Amino acid sequence: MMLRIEGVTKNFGGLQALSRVSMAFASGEFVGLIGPNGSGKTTLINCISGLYRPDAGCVRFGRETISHLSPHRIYRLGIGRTFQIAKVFNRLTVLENLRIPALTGGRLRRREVEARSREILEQVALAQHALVNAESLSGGQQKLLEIGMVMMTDPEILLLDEPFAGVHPELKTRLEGYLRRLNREGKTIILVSHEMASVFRMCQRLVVLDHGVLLADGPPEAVRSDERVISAYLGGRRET
Amino acid sequence: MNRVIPSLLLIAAAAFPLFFRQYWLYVVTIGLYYAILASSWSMLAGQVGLISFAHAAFAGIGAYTSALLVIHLGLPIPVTMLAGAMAAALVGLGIGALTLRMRGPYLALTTLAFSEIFRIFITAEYELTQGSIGLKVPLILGGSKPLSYYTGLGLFLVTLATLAGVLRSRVGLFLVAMREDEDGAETRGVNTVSYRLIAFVLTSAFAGLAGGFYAHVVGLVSPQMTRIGEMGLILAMSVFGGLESLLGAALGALILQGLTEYLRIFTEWRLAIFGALVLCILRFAPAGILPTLYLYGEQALSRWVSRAPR
Repeated sequence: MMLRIEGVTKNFGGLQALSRVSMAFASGEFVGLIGPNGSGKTTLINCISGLYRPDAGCVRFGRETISHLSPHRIYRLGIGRTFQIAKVFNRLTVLENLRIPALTGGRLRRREVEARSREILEQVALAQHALVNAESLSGGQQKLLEIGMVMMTDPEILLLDEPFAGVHPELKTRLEGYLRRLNREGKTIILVSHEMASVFRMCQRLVVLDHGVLLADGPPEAVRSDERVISAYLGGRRET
Repeated sequence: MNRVIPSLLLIAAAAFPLFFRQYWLYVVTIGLYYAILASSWSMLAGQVGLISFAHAAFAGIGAYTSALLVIHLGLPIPVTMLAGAMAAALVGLGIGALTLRMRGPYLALTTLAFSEIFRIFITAEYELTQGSIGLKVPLILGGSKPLSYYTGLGLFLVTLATLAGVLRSRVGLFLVAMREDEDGAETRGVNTVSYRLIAFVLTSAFAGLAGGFYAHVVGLVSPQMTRIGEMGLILAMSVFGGLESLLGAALGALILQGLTEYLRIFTEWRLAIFGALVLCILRFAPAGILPTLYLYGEQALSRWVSRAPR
């Protein structure tokens, strides 16, 4: 397995956001991480990407334990992430936003960075906005830009936190197509989303969290009919 | 417009000693010391988002290091000034390494405490520093006022060029990104702690360099130059001129230094007047004097161009 979560626990004061959560992700998987609000999805993403340090347990990437590393090192190892509210740098141009991740590792030369930026701009359909400030983009375009930024260094794993929230349907279709393509090219994608239609359309496997506990893990059809999942989502009533 | 104002300022600065001698030349030379401090502090606060209250103390470290090396080892003044800058950078590295890993007000609190500790130390260590009486220091270039002025101008331009060069490089891009969203920058691979530390050490070094220059222009270094009121003055100069503009902060320093002389009769009330001025600037031109001048200049220029016959 490429990425392993081993008994991760995270507390915030008296609130247990994650309780001994374990799971593993293989290379090239497209996994949906779902659960009701407050179930611990974003906390888990934050633990994987290094923004939170688990109180117990660990995260392993390949053979390396990464849960003690800072976020920039985890990104450079090949785990990129996006946020529920896109974190783009508003006062910088779209092109400058893309340059930042590529320049941090020092692996790409300036000319290679330019070429890669142009390539990504085409992929996320922002080529005509290259020189405008990121703050002028729509919310959906900012989400595309954020994924583009993450992709600048070609990470192996993408952690996407609500990439479809607030995105125009046309852009959502484009975004879905882009993510499918990345997955076909071998990227491991872990998708946190409340857009169930998209999740069921795209993911090969679903992991369900509820109140910080792993509730279910398996193929979408099996998870959909799982009593505990139905109970968590519908408050005990069975879907008709 | 972006080149016109700096070019005019540079010409005016080069020609200044031709029209002003002795007193005003000396006032502006001291103004250049403050200009280095204000522009380097504005880079730290305005571009990186770090608030340090030890900039005057770093100038003090540079001044005392340079003074002590000249007095005890007889080293040439340019060498001791560079040593002063390095000493300030080293202390900055120590303080930064301790505090910059944490977010929040820790840098501000630590630098405030350090500033006071340093002032008390140099006041108390009479054997070494002559306490509050101060150390008499040899003057730079034999005390020639025009040459001191040009040395200050040169140091100021080096400071400005270095800081502007850093801001235009990839490091500058990272600094802007960090100020906009630290988590965003960190998760895109930016080592935010290291770049904050680079910015803090660099600006501390320039404060130390300015301090060394000041020591050999005034001929006396005393704990007065490190008191918190001096830090308040640097802060007021930066905000007045433009916190996000290196040149603006420098201009703010020169204007307030000039005002200091005009308002000398008000003694300590000068600081209250500066405080009121800063409040007015924050209310009516929050970006500072220079960026606001740019804005009005551009608007006037575009109006003039649109009215011109075709």
